[in-house]
Amino acid sequence: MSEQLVKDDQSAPAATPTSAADGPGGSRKKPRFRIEGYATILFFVAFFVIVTIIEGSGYASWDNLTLVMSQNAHVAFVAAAVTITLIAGQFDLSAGPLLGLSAILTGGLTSIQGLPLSLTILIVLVVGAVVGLVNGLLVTRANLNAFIATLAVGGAVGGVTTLYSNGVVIYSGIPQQLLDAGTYELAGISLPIWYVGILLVVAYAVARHTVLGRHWYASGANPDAARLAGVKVDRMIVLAFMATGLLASLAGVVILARMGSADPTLGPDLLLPAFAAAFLGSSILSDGKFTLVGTIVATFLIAFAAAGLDALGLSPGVKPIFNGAVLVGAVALTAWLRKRSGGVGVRA
Amino acid sequence: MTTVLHDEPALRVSGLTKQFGGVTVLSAADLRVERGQIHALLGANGAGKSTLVKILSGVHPSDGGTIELGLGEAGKPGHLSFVHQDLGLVDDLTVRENLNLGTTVRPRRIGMLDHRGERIRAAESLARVDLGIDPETPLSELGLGAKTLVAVARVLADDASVIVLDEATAALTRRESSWLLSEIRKFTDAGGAAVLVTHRLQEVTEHCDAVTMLRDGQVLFTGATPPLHELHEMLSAGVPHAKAARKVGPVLARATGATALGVGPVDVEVRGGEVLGLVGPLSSNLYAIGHLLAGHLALTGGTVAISTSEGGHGVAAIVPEDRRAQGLLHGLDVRANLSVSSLGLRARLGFVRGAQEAADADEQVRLLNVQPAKADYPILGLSGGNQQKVLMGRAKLRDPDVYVLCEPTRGVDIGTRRALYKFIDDVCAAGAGVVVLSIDLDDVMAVSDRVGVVQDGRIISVTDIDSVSPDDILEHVL
Repeated sequence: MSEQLVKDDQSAPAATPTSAADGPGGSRKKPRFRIEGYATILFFVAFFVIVTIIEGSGYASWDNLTLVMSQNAHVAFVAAAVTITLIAGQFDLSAGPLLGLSAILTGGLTSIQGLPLSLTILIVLVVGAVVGLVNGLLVTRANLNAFIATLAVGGAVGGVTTLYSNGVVIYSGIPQQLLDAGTYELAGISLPIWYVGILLVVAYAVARHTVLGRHWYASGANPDAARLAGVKVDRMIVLAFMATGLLASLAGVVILARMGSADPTLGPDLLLPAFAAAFLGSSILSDGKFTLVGTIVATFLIAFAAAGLDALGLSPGVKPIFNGAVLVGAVALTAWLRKRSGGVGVRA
Repeated sequence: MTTVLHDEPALRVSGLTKQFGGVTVLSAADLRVERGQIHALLGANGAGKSTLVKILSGVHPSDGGTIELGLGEAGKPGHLSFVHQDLGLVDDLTVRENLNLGTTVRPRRIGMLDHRGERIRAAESLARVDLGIDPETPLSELGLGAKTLVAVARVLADDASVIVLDEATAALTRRESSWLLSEIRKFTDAGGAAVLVTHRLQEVTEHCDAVTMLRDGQVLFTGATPPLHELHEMLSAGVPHAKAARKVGPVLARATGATALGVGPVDVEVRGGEVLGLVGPLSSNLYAIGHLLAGHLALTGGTVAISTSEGGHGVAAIVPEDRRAQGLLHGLDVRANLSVSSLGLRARLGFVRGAQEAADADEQVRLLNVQPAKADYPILGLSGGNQQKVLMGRAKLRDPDVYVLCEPTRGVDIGTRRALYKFIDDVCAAGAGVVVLSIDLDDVMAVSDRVGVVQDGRIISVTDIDSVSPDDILEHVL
């Protein structure tokens, strides 16, 4: 009897399986068919269809799709960045400001200081990793709440950006090489989309198939249990913050390459779409478990919906409201999914 | 289901039956508790005591049988009150606040608590158990015996007609439990009745009027308290003690003057192929010794060394006492929960070998008979016993030389218990050393070759299991 019921678990609600080995006092919840995950996707698809009906096929065209993806490649990087710390059970608010710093540094070091592009990118990545290291040490060694630590570090990073740039946009003297890397196409698809593709493959492999990624998940699921199981939780958390820093820095390089200018005010605004994507991704593709693939898919879902808002001629102010609504909705859905799958609430 | 009787006895349970997943854990059990009686409920682990208590307290529904209660004080319908081993008190609150926890709030004016009235009632409650303390004392300043009396005072204030002490004396010293039971005697002398669930036969012969002993879910004996040696015989005859013969190997774990916060100094050796049982009350900081041996506490002095056995690599694996808080990786599946400790061991260049991981997980699921037998099942979807099996499998996949098992069989049914005992026998036969820590002596006696008693974070004695009886340990050492 039990086997039959267990096999049914993806298709229909069924009675709890019982067996001789099931004892008293156990709380068992059964995974059921999840309409909710699909409901989210259906909501987006319905929205896309409505915009297409109103605005015509221009919105739903291949060109528009790739344009939106290209324009949001850097968002995918920041969203993936914050997802890694979320997987490890932490929170990184400095990823947005770090994107701004890395864009300014890449533009400034090449155009003003005249450093070669490769050295510049190396420096920028090291800066990202060091910021992550500082976050990680504040959280694991100084036992600061990640929210507070990364808010403070993010503020400091933003300050450095302003000091270095004097608040001025850098748009001249940026190496042509870099601009090409942001605008060229390969096989009809612009390079930034390829970068996201590479990010997707690498991030998926690291999170799912390396000891590091699996230990991130374990540390996020239950740090005390992970520690007793032999996982070096503190080290995993530091490494997660460093990976977040690296990806946020890469996001800065990507946006500079694509836009050809570095705006010192850029960055903090990206936290909202990034976290919205991470939480939306965790609710559409799994039972509230953060996944890099989910995050990247969700980034583009949100971006395409936001482009739809533009197409409908709505004021730009609507976009952050939409992003906020997606974040709240996704967090609520994630919390609910986790509760039902028997997990803990969202640590945020 | 629970009906009220207008004459004796205080509590009558008839033909109570309970099955869990096709296994009968309680079969037509009767229990008759007279007014004025302290009635001991005895039996080995898995005999059905805790199931009976859980049915009485409403945690489980029964599959058959009746529970009847006699009239309480002043002809009011009687009711049952429970004092469990964890007492259900809050350390951060005062004694008065604890006494009022969960009782009806009686506001004097709208929304305002009647503090003066509360204080008076608290003092009265404490007087009933002869506890001469200020009700405003923080609970944390009391010893365990006094805390237990506070818990008893709380149920007395609740006008219970029958008090069930569910292992409430297990963590107390002999002097404390005598104190507690003499206060309970005053309650029964005034017409109340009490059921005492305990393993401590000495306190049964000293304080209880009648005994009901369960074995395999059935009543083995009920009647006036027999002499101590007869109780012993009845109880030990019920425990299948077919421990595998052990071949003891070299010392694998050695603690030398090891100290950590609140623990130690600990000096102990664990050999390959043997099970060292450690028992002590919760207040003894028992589990901290396990965590210390497994290398999870920062040492403030001394050493803990794990030697390498054949096929091992100098590692101690722990199965922690709090399954949910310290063991399970919430939100992940059975496979991820099994493999977390061994991913690094089996990895190639930092990459998890997926096929190996799946094969290892499937093997543990099969060996330990984890139900449902699906490695991709969410861990929190499993019953407690099956979750425990997963944690044991996780430890085994780590290829440890020493297993530190904290409360391995707590709250699991008899089928799981057998599977876990077999697990312990198997890893011992394979040459590993095992330490089992429990606050329940039966759990320790059932598997151990040597038994150590823990007090105040130290192991105060270690004895061979063959040369010691449970009462020796409980009555003379605790």
